[in-house]
Amino acid sequence: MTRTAGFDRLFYWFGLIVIAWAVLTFLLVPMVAALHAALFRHGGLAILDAIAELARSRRVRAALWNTAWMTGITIVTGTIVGMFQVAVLEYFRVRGRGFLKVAFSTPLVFGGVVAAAGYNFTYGPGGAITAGLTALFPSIPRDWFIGWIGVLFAHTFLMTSFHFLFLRAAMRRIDYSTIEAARSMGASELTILRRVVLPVIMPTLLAVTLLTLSTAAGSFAAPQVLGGRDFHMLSQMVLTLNSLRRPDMAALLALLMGIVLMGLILLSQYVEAKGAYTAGTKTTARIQLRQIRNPLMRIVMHALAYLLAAIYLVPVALIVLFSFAPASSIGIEILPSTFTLANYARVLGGGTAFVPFFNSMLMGSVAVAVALAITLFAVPVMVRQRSWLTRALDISFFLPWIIPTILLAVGLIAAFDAPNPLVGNVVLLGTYWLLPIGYVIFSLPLMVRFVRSAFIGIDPAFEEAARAMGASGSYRFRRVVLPLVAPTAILVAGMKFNNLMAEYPLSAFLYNVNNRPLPIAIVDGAVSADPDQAAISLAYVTLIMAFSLAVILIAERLSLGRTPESSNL
Amino acid sequence: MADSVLSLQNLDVGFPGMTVVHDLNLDVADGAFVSLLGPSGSGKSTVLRTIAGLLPALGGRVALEGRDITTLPPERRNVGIVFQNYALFPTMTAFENIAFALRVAKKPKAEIEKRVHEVAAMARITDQLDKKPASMSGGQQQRVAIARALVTGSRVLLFDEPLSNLDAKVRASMRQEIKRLQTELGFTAIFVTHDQEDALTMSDVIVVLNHGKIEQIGDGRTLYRKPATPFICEFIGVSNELAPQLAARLLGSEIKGRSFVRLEDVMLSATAGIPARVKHVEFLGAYSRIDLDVEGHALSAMLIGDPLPDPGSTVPLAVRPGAAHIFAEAIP
Repeated sequence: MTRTAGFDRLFYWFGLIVIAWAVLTFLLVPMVAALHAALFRHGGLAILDAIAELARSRRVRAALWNTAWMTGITIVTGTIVGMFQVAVLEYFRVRGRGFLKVAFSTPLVFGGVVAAAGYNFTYGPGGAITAGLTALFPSIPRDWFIGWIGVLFAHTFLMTSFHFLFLRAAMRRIDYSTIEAARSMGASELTILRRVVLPVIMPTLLAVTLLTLSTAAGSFAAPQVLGGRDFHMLSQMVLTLNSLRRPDMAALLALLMGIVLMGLILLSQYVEAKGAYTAGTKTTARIQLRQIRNPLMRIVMHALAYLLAAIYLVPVALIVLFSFAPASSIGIEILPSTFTLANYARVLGGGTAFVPFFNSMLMGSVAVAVALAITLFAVPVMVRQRSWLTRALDISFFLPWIIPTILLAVGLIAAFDAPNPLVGNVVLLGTYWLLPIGYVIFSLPLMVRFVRSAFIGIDPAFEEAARAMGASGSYRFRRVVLPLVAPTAILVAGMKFNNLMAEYPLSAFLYNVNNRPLPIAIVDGAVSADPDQAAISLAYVTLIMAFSLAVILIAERLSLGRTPESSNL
Repeated sequence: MADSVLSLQNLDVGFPGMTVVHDLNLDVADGAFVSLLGPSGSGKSTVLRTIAGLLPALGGRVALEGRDITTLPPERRNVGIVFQNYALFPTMTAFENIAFALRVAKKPKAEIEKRVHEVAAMARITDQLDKKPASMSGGQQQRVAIARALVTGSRVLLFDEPLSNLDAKVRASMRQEIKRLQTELGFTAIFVTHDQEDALTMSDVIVVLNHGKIEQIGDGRTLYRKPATPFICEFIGVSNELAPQLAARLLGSEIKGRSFVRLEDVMLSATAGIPARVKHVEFLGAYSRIDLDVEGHALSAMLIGDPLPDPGSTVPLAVRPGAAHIFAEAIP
């Protein structure tokens, strides 16, 4: 055995052991800890008592009821808006399609905590639209948007990204000649829609509905920012129970939610896979947009499409504008009259406003770097060697994708709120590093999926050629394989970093005073009455949106952002 | 023509502002199999879509059984269409696919049952009626598509390159299948294709289109033996175009215009031939292709059977008397 080969083997086993330890410690143990906290108390099985105790709480019952009906209504309103978008973009001939497409794609960069804060800045008590409304109608209360209205509004318009990504793709897969065939046999437009188009997109529509359902039921940032004092949902209740030092209750509630949400996600995958219709043909004719014949219908359709575009673009535009406005104009002016870079100077200048930004940058980049290292080591091993060990690793990396983030957070707390021998008897809770560890776990599924497909796409002949010329394993990896997967790796790292800058659920559970991250600062700024805080949050939000947009544009260039894998579940 | 079932009179087809085919005249006899043959961009599909009513005619007339259907919508024309890739509805069973037009026309249930079963029996797919397209073979899908086109009583079926995505073997059997159904059921077929074999094997009449113009109308033998234009000569079969000097030497007189010789009409063991050097011999099984050099001009011949000349050897070359196709048109 040569010296390099010996080093390679050592490195390989060392890496494998480190990854096995990390997966065990930070993924499997926390899951078991969450289960244990939920099911056992004082050394005995106490789940029934715990459920009874949960059920007795009036606030938990209210949150459950709110979550249930909010989810139900979101499904209806979100589906209407999402289907309308798809109809406008992919079925009917509507003027300004390119512009509308950009407008309807805003939820891709304007989601979660960013959007919740953004809507609060626009429609909330200090918002420009509220300022405009109260100027016109003084009887309107300044907090008209806060409560279930705001949450429903946010859900309805922001949870359409699944429709935008997947339902549009399904629509484009329709063989246009089937539509022509139906028309040539005398079918009316309505019959074509109902009998030819709808049945083909139905499986995707169902899957998208289930995904929306799961997103709405797990909604966290939206009720936190927009729900106000009286409208709470279940995710918030888990956080409240956790901060009330009832980790058992928190774990149980998170577990019950987790089971429901996981079931929905798996069901959606099943529905989608089962219903994939193939016409048994190789090529299909691309769908052609349909002219709306009735002039009244055409006008109504255009009016609604542009109204919807305004709903999407106005908040974004106002946020960007006001991020350049002095704090004193927030909540007073409808459009800022003077512009300044002061907000950005404070965010980037190194003062207190810089701290959350710095924390998120640091934790985000460390987490992404670690997750990338794990991915680049583990994926080639998993791709080339099929054994029970690599399969177990594979499933473990997939787990955080279906486990709801709050369940992961609760598990991490339960596992590390006391000295844990797996990490050298340290209490990780309350340290700087538990949150970034959570970020790593949270980042792995997407990274592994993308990098794996990049690896599988590599022609094995490259490596064989390098091997035939005598290159060692590590040399082949460095000089041949890595450059081939580098674009994907860099891109997915960028996407994940971007997600982490606005990640709310894990941050809310695991942060402490020393590592208060950006999303927490944004939420605090959004709900605070201090215009200075609000101004800083606007700058934060604008910076995150700009970064998201850059990542998505690069992804589009490399045609990576269009696959189902790019969705953030 | 009295017995023509479909007739196109001075038809202009294309899109507003862009006429693809101008002044097309064609009479199709009842029960005939007519192919519209041409390279891509020749306008053949546009003609078909205009006959179907999927595109409005820009001028002229389309008449079906003596009735002017130029402005009728597709569903009232009573022509059936078999689409490229068949366009079967993937979510419906074969039965539902075939019944679609009847359901749209709100026919009574009993009648739908009866008609679908009749046409399915004719197309021999009665046992496939409960299946969805994805679980049928290509041949079965084709039969369902034809049954669907026939169910409303159409006597004229339009085929829009239905074989274009199939490999050679499947294609041959699908061809036979279409031809068999057409002969048995007696419908009139208008078949669009860019493949000369499709056209030659199935058609009673072939209409060759090029750049929006009819080059020639005739049966396969006529097109092959008596091509009306240089385009037909090159598009159907394989020909050598003779350079003027070579044409003069081989054909014995000065030729004005373009002249072509089919590969099988080049003879290599003539008693009074011009010496030709064998450059390359390509053995293709049933026949061999010989590439030759004749006084500096390249020429190919086709030989059936043995013996084959050796590359580098010289053979006496002549053209079968009367076999050259000569066109007065100037060399482009």
